[in-house]
Amino acid sequence: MPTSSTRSGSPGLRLYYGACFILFVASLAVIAWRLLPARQATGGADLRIDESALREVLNRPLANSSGGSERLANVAAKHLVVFLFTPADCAACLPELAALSRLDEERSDLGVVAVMSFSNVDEAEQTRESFGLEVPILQDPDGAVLAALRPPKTPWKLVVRQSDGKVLFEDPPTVAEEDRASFLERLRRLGA
Amino acid sequence: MTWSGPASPVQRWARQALIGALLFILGNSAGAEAAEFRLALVQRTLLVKPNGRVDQAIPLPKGGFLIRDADFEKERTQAVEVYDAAGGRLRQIGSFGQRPGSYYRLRAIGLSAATVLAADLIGRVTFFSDQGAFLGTKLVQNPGLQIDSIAVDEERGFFYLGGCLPAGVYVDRGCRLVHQYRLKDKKYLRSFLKTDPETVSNGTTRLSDINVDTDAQGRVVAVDAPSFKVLRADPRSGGEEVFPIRSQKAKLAGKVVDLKDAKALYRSVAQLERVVAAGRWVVVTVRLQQEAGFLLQVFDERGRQVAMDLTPPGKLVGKSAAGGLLFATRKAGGWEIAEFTLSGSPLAKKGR
Repeated sequence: MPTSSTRSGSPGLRLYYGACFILFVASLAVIAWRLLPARQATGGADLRIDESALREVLNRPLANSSGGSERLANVAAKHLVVFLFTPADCAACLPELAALSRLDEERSDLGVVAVMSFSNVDEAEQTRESFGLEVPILQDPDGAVLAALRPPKTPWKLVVRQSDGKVLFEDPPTVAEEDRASFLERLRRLGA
Repeated sequence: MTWSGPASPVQRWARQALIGALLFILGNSAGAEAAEFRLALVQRTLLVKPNGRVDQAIPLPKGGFLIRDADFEKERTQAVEVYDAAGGRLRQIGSFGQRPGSYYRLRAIGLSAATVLAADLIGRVTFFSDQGAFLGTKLVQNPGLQIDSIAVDEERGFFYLGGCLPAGVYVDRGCRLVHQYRLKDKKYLRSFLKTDPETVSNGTTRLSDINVDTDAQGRVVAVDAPSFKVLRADPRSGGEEVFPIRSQKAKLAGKVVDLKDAKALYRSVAQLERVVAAGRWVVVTVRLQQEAGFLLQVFDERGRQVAMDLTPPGKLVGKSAAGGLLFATRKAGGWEIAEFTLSGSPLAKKGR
């Protein structure tokens, strides 16, 4: 506490008030940083998928519906959207895949691929028909992809920069229209 | 009127009328009503099944039973089993798992000719031959719902799934309850019957569990666990009917003000568990509050409740081709499937 002898503006008092001001500004900065929405930068704290595991999965051959196989890393697009899902997922979550399928047709920089676990080609085709999907649905019959990536729940979406395999952002299951719109808007901003 | 001294003719008449009225009222109590309906044993079969449960039984055309054993707490033991007429276990159909050809939460089974339908809570109906060969699956998508029950109308070529198709995004605003599919191509046709408005206003939709069956005329009967009503729909005409269920022993769910403990709510109220359309009758199983047991409520073809609060001779697990009811009871060495017929005549009730 400043004494009566320092009230006249001595260097000690100025130093004291300066330190308080700096501390105050720093506190505001910390509060503002915590309140900011999750970063879109790679390696952000909100990302759940391990990138080394993802690199392996991107290069793993996965069966497609035509009897052949494909690698996610070979999808010709600047940004890859991977939609991980299973037949057990909430039915209201799957229409989002239809919205992504439409976006895939509109945007040349986006490649949307669905990976369906614990299923088979027949069920993939049922899903395609149910939702009018145009995107590839690759097979993960024994759940090995899910076991490698360990998403907190499914369906889970990853947006990957194909040039270096970095995860740009992820998104959990969405049911409500407004939540779905938020993810789609982030995708649109990618191409802007 | 005085009671001292010799009674006049009028007083004697009044006394006798009063006694007669009392006897009439007592004679029309619930106990007397239940006594008018009887379950008569037709036959028993002891299944050689030392472990597991019997949750559903479907008689096979050549004798024996198709059994659903679905203990979700011991999930790997879930099984569809085939037993012969003598109760010997012939084979298991499918097994626990998440892949096609398996079941994860085996909610119901159905039988159409030589095809077994296994309905999984995760939204998949799996088709097996009665010899156990995997034939294919139907994913319940668009509309998507979690499956509670299945009923097969082989004669008309349909199967029905009971399960909540929400009116909104979530179930709190109620659901469409029954969903019709064509057997030959598994194509979804339409949904009908809605959640009871009282269930929505009470906030008990989270207790919803829809059980469905079909009668000999192709009509669909359904019950929803927290709603004490029988619902019936005729898919051909589109007509829908609702019949209230009366019980003197079941405690019904009231309005939920603050749901903190769903399990406590589940245990504290009576709920409908199963509906079976057997012959002339529609029989509903009520699971009593605090796991105090089960009761049967019986309805005739017109939807009138003709018996109330009957004590079942076991767990109601299905119906026979002859219109009887199948009850399962744990016995030494296995499970007994007993077929009973329901017989009786309703009392003429006034003022009920």
